[in-house]
Amino acid sequence: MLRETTRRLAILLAAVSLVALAVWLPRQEKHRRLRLASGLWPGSEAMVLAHARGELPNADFQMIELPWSSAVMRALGNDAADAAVVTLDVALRMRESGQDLRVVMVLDESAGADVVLAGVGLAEMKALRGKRIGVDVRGAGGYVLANALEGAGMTLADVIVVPMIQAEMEQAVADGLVDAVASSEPWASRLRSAGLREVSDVREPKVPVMRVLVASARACEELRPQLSQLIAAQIEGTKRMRAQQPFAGMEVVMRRQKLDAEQLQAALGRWTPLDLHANRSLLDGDPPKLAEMANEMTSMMLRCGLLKSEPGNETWIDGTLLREVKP
Amino acid sequence: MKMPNSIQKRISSIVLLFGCLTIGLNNWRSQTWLVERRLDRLEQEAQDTGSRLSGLLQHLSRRQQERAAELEMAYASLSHDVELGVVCDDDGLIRYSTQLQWRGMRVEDSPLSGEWAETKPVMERMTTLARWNKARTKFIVVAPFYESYDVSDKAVVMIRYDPAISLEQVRQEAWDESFRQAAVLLALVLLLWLALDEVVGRRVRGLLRQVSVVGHVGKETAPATMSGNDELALVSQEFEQAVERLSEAEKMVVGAAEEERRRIGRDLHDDLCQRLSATKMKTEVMVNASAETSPEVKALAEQVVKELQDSVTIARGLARGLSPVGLDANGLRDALEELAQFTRDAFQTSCFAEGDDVDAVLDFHERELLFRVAQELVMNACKHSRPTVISITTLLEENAVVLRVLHDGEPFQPAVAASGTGMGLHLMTQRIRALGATLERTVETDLTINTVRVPCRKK
Repeated sequence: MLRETTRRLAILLAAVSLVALAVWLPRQEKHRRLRLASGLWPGSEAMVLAHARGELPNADFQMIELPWSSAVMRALGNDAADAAVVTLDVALRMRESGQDLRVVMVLDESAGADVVLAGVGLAEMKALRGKRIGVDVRGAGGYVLANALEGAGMTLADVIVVPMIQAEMEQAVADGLVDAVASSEPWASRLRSAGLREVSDVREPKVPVMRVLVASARACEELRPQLSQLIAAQIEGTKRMRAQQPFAGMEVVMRRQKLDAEQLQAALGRWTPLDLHANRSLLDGDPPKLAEMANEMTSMMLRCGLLKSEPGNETWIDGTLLREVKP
Repeated sequence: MKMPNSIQKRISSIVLLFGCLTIGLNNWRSQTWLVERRLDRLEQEAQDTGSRLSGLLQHLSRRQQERAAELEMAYASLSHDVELGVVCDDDGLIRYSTQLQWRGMRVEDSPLSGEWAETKPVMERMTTLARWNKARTKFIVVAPFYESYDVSDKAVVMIRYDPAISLEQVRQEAWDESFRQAAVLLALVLLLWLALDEVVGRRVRGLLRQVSVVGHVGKETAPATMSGNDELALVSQEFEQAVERLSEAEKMVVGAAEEERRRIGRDLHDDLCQRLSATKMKTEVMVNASAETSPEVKALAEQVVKELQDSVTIARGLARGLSPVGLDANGLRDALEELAQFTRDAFQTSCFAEGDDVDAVLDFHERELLFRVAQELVMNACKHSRPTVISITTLLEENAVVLRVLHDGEPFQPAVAASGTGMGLHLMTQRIRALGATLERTVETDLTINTVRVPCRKK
């Protein structure tokens, strides 16, 4: 009798478990592609080339090539993309606006790729007082210009900020709409070719402009294998791009960046790519070194009015994916 | 419980089978429907995007808004299914592309070179073309527009869609849904199995037990008749009534048989035995009369006297067997003592009877049947078990009269008994049933104990 009762209870339990399984089994896409919004930063070309070569297969990755940094931010913000390459200051601004994202990799540190360029006769920062300066206010330009002005004892209020996207700067300079611009590669190289020169006394920022790979919190949970693969492709691809010149796929990069070979070769020297070891030293640790750098950058941005408030303290650096990448 | 053949197993299996078939069919229908719907949406999206972009790009081109046009093309790549989209002029030079690497290239050098040939007639007619490739794996939309206010200055938006990944997801969703349905179905089948076991299985098993104990005289008692008015309960109730009627009929038959035996026994004792005794006495007279006159006749007459004496003995024995002496006058205990005496005499076996006087709680007919049962048990022991001692005991319990026959011979072999003709056993079983009694056979320390328990009320 007891055996019979036990058996019936077991059957009842199994039935209830099956119904619970059917009801609460999470409905999720079994195979979701990682959607990467890539801008026109030459340092992230390794990922785009890896996708074009099939190393990041189409079945697992969708590349969304957006030419404007604001478009990249929007794509990540409205969940049209799972990951994107943005500058650290932009990532801080996105965090300030409440976006739940994680920095999973630092691609590189700028070493002249983000500059203030001005026409003839405007060789020093002080000469820019009261001048019209073209800035992509939603990109890295704001941080670059604010830092340069602060180094020269000025603030954003001492110049006339003309908001524009990077792609508009060439035309704006040609049309005489601005006297100077805060620009990044690849547009900076084209502007140099157009005759603009780097303002000489720009102070190096305490925290350099850094391009980081950010991903939504959801992507960090659901698309870990793809993110790890993406990081590995970026590190490996960057090594190949710098191992020999010309590198495989250079023509594609030149077409995408609208640079000639000489411009591209020169541009490659204006940022320092970070390998896996350097990334681990930045993203691992408690607190991560990157967090300390971000705090310093936050202080400066708050001071300059680029941030209105300090971003929250929630976790936003995820170094765990780096552990899944084989050196 | 024989699971493989149980009704609930069969019904559950049938439900499971039909459920699986339904799920399979539903899965096939869902996949077909979802794929068709996805493809319809893709076609609609492709045509909408092509038309929208061609109109927008015409406007932007005329206003030389290249960067806005570039961004619009970039946004086209947000669609999961877009493989590649380009905008090229009528010479095949790519102006904008969803993949920036094709910008400035000739379309013949891009992955869309195959579709380029189709743009000529499209640009001539200036109507949108949207079609699947032959393998129906790619969808191409070609939407022409005027780049400037010059009608000869034409350009075209070409977008190629590849729905493979979306369709794979759609199929996966259909399988997920089927998996959920299967889990629910399995749960329902398990619950159905439980319900059937409760409502049908248990009751049918009870009915089977009720049926199986009928005709058996073992210790196992029949389960209670099912209450209620469903079909199984009605069967159970009807069956019990039928068994009762059969039992009554059997009692009447057994009673009639016993009555007939008694009558024959009486006739043998009162008539045949008397006649034989009278004939024997006459023959003895004849022996005396012929002693001097004819020695041959005398010898013959003496032989007849002896044979008549044997016949009387046999007839009396038959009469005693058919109608136990003293059962009606002296009760069951005396009849059993006489049976013990007969056994001692006939089989040279130590046999004795003892116990309570149960006459008060049994009527004559019941006493007679119980005596016959004891007689059969003793005779069977003597014939087949070769005992050295036999004990016949009667006990009066609260609600039963117990007859116990034990002996030290070889134990009863049911298989051996069943293989024989078994008329004695059959009759004994019939009598036990007529008494409404049970028979239990046990063996304890080399003693075979037959216990007959007759239910009764103290009268």
